[in-house]
Amino acid sequence: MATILIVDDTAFMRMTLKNILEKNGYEVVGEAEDGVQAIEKYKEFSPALVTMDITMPNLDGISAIKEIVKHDADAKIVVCSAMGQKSLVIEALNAGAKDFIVKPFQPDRVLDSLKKFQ
Amino acid sequence: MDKNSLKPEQIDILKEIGNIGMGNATTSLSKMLEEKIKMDVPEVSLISLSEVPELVGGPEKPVAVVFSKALGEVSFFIIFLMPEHSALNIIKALTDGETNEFCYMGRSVIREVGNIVGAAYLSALSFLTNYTFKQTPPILAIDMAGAILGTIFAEADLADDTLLLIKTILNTELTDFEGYLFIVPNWEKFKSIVEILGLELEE
Repeated sequence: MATILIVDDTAFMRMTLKNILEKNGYEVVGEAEDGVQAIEKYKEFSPALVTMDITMPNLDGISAIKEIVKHDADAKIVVCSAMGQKSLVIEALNAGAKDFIVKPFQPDRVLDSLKKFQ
Repeated sequence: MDKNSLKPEQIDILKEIGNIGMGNATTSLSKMLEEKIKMDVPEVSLISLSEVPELVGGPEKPVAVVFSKALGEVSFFIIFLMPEHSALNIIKALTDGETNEFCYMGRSVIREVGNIVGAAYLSALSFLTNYTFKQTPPILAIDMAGAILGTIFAEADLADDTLLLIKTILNTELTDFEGYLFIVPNWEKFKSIVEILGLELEE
């Protein structure tokens, strides 16, 4: 069972992702509400996968991705963000994200993406 | 600057961005609700600050408002306003009927809906201008329309009196929903967007 860290500043979106993932055999080992918590919890739990929001207080998702990748070059991070502008997608992928899912998403889109990185 | 100093073709461009942005937002909402949503053609207009409370049903009308600042080559405020009953309907729809009040989870639903609608508008604007916009984390307020809008407009430190309003009414079989999207630009700077698009249109 792959472990996963959910990062999103909105409780509703964390709940939605958690439901999708747990129903499909993932173990959600942690949830983070901003980029700072995301880095702390990544170091604490070393999850196999991360879902990462971009627009968040304190530290945004792109900065958090850079920090996490610095700590673990093999980190597997999939962005889930409403900000689907092309330049931001490229920025996230350049920072080290493996995929970019634009919110709102269909559950299958998330599951298909995560499957590729297990 | 006020709305009278914009040329008709510039107003048309702003309306077109509004249409595309709201089209994106509707697609997004429809996906969230897993329902086909019928969208009335959005009414895009330029209005004065003082007209806003009346437009949404009076200053004492209870509303939920999600607002954030778009940051980029041009910065502006994005405000998404829903009448209270619309907000409650969408909370109910998105939590499969488990929540129909402004509790912690209900507020979180509304914040995410506002976030997605605002981001959809920014995607349209980015696509048309090649500018990139980031967004501050959205803030949610639930109160009377007059109180919330007064606070936001004071915060926005507006030099001008004109807002871009995109009003749309969305209907689904199960969810009645009405939302108003306001763009509050600093017109001196926002003009550069209009100019860019104007030049592109002439090509």
